[in-house]
Amino acid sequence: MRTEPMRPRPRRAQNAAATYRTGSWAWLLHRITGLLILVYLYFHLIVLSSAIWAGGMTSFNRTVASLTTPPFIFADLALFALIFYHALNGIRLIFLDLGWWVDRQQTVFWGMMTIAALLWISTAIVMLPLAFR
Amino acid sequence: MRQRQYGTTGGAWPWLLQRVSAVFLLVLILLHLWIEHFMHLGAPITFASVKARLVHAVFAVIDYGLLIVVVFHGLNGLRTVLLEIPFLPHRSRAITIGLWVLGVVTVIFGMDILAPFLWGRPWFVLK
Amino acid sequence: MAESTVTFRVFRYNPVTDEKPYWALYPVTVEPGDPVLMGLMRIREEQDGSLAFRASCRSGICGSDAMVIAGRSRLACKTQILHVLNAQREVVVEPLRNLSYVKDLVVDQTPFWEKFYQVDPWLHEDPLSKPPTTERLMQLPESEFDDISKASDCIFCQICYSECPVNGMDRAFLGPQALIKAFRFEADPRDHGTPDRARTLNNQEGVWKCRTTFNCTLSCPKGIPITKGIQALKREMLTVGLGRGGGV
Ligand code: HEM
Ligand code: SF4
Ligand code: FES
Repeated sequence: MRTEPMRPRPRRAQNAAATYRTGSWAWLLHRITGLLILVYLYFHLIVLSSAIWAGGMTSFNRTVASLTTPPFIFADLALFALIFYHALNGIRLIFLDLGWWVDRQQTVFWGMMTIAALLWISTAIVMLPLAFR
Repeated sequence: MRQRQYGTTGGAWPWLLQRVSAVFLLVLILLHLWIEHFMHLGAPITFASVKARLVHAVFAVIDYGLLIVVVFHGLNGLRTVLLEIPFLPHRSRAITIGLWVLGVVTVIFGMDILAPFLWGRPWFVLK
Repeated sequence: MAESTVTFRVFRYNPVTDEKPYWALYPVTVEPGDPVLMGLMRIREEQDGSLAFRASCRSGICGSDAMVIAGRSRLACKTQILHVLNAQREVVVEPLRNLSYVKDLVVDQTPFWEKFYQVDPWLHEDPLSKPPTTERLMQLPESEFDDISKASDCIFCQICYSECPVNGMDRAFLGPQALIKAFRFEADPRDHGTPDRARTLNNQEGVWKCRTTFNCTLSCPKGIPITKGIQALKREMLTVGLGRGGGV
């Protein structure tokens, strides 16, 4: 018998990622996207309210105009991706809670992801020209 | 046989309301994204255009409804996440109360954003 | 039969002598079809008698020899060595997750059994029924039996408990096994235990903590549709939990 030390820490010897499969990745991503959208929500509210507080109409127009410049259009597209993932997987979760297609959850997951991807691509097709005008 | 009870009884309401709010959000968020990004595609969003839109009550209802539902759903979801962190379940009451306070403050804060469009000026200005 | 030599990379820890766990590597000669358990037994007999692991039936019935093999929780007697080799021709064997290890591959099962007892896993009689004076049959119609027969197959191997990521984060969560056991009785028309079980099922650490990751369903060696049962339990607990007396 040979022996080898465990690195880096013994507790970490078991690779937790190995347990992850479709349903658990779906859950982890759902959680991450949900929390990111929540963070965005607070940014959104703070940016809009400080624009108004800073000087009403004119500063609101200035802020919103800067928010529709190309960098922000790309950021919006990233946000759309988060929302579409969370929303479509959320629909799958509600189906599961209703007891619908529980035996085919992986198929439903990929079906939902296809819809999310199509939604995002059509959004990108509409919005990207705005970034390049 | 029963050694000790894990956790506190209850939890059906937050679970159900998370799903009910999700169904509302699905409609409201898609409407919100449509209104802000696609309804007048390419036309700049200005104070005047938002004001003109909000004259119709239905838009105000969508915006305020979305605000309330999204804050509830987001913070209730955050509560789920927090209660899964080891040792935090013992603080579940404090977490719930804290998030409710945060939620009410956020909704008031958010409503204030639309006030200038509806009533000419924000309810309060922090400066 | 084609014999070949593989390496068993085994998680070893002796609480008396070792400060922390380490890997032990054993060369083992195997034939196609040999299960991991056979390799472990051979190591114990021929190379190192101090290796600790649980096993009994060697045929996937007793549920004793669940362990993490090649990163996933499985029954050592139902897993073929040649199916789980990594690129270095090693079989990596570790104790179950979500339960603390005691010695080598043996874990402390206490929380698992505590949670199992929490759901009152026996048939509760109708408290209002009079005691029978003559012999009473408590048979189930065949159609009703089909609903619960799968859930009755559980062999207490703790694989689902070990694979559940929610259990991994929150050690108080009842876990898939206790919940599917509860389902087995809740779905039984002869049972009247709902009010007793509701305390632990309609609970922040009960059905509502399940996040439907399906890890339990995918890993259960008896093929029990665990998630499906838990989802049915959630819907049942809604009727209990939304009413008065549902708790805070
Ligand atoms: C667009 C429609 C949406 C749908 C259909 C939806 C659906 C859901 C569902 C069903 C859950 C429960 C997940 C579970 O119990 O495992 C959930 C959780 C959550 N949602 Fe949403 N959601 C939506 C939008 C949002 C938005 C806009 C936010 C951010 C403000 C958000 C933040 C969260 C958070 C933080 C969680 C908790 C995540 C967790 O428990 O892991 N959701 N959502
Ligand atoms: S439900 Fe399946 S995985 Fe879980 S303890 Fe029982 S037999 Fe093992
Ligand atoms: S030894 Fe009994 S299940 Fe494997």
